[in-house]
Amino acid sequence: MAEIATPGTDRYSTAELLAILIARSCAGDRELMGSGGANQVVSLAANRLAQLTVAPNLWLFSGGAGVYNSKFDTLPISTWDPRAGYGAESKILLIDVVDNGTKGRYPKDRIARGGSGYGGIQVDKYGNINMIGVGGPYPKLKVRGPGTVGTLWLCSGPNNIYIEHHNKRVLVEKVDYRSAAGWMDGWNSRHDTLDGRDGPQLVWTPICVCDFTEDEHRMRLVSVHPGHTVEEVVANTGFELVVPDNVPTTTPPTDWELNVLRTQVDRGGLLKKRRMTVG
Amino acid sequence: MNAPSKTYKHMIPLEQQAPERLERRSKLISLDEAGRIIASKTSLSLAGSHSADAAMALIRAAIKAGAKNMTMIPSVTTSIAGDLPIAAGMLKKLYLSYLGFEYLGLAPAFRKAAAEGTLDIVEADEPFIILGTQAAAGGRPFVPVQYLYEALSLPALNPELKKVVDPFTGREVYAIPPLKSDVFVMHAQVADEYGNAQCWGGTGQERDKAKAADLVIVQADEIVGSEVITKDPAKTTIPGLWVDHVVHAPYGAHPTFSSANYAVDEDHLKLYLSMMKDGAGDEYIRRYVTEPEDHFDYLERVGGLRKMTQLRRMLTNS
Repeated sequence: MAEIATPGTDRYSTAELLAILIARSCAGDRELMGSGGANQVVSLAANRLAQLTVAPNLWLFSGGAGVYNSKFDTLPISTWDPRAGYGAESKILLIDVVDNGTKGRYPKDRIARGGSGYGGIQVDKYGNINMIGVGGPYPKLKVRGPGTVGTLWLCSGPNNIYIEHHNKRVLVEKVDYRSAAGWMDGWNSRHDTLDGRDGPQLVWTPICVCDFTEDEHRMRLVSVHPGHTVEEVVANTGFELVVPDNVPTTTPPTDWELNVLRTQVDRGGLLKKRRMTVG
Repeated sequence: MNAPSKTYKHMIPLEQQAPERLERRSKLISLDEAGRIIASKTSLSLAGSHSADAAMALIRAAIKAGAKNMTMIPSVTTSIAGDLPIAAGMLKKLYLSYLGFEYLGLAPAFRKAAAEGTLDIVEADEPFIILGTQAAAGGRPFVPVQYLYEALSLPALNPELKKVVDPFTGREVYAIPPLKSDVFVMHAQVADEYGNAQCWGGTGQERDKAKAADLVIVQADEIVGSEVITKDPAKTTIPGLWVDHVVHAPYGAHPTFSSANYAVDEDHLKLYLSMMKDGAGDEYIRRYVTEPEDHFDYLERVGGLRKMTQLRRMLTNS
């Protein structure tokens, strides 16, 4: 298992790269709802960065603390970190999270999901997520997962997938249990089951960005991060990715981007130390 | 052939996507515009409590803009915020829980409309409105209530109250349908221009009403800067992302109470009641709703700064 971000030696860490990529993808004038629940320090950084540069109407949500629009310039260790409340504009209740998640207010035209990404101990080719466990029969699991939490929300509208460890144990042909719905069994299965509500859009990993094909909704390679190759991505993915003829290299972070990230969002350098792996 | 054809924003550096001026969009609109928006809808919901924290400026603006044939989901206890729209012919249907003026008497326009059969009254009650609103707020198909209604006339009078079987006990219970609205109008003491609103009173129903509505319009006594809102995020009753429009309406709850801000104008409520009872309802509406040039003209007509200062002082000189 290789470390791919060595603090203090690389020009930028993989976590910094991902935060910048996610921030770029949020660009626009419309209202967005960004970030979310638990261990999402990269997502927090990305959404704050987007808010400060390209997405002034993004609502930055720190789910664990239940607050909107924190003004931190030093990253909290997670969204539940009470320091994530610094400079916040409102505090909401869990019932609000449940109501909005089940009703699916955010997919309505006014509010779209921005730089939120959900991961799991397994993610499959249709973007389904497993937080329940590996193996079986249930409940005799080889790996007992942490539980489903609030990933039911992913049924109510489009979102993104974010993983920090790109390997064949995480990226599998079919999840053993489905705790969050991606495009389900591909093709029209999700739209048929969930009243036409769209599924996951982008997949962010330490070595590439993917999306989903228009018809089958199977995961498709979009770009490969600098220093990595298509072959490496394919070799570390446990299912057949759709690989277009020409896969570009992900545009690396610019000095301007790194400067804003390090001076206005992550002054503590938390993203430089974030451990991500491939293989 | 499987090549994606769209633009991928993650490939474009932030500085190339940054707008010339990074500006957060203000949600402030004029009271007149808010009135026109409400008038273009078919259902509205209200919060507040009895004669406190009613979004009166917005209600008057909607009447002035010609709102007609609307369905109202009021706060569980309502006085002039429900009666005035009935007097003005704005409502076709009302979910009733309590509409009256308590110690000042019954609601005159409501009684008249009920007697004349010009208003479709749903014989609802407090749990029906609160739980139905909660159902709509969470996208739930219905909310069950235990057998209590069995003892009342309500199931016979309200066809929207239906029976279902409790799958856990097999016993029959009652189902309240989701009560969503096209637009929820709310009074707040302060709000910022992004929609973060503080209700210093409030009963909690304003939060569910906001979640249950397609559109949310907040009127605020005062528009404040971010430094006031961020001072205590827990005081923000309605987070700005639930809000579509903000209207600055100082003393906008008049003649009702604005919690911790100014008192109810009981003299004006008595004037309203006497004019309605004396058949001068149209004159009241002309003088205080349709004829005023704007909200400030209205405030002049009900006593101006002198009266507003007195109402504010009433909270400090008890």
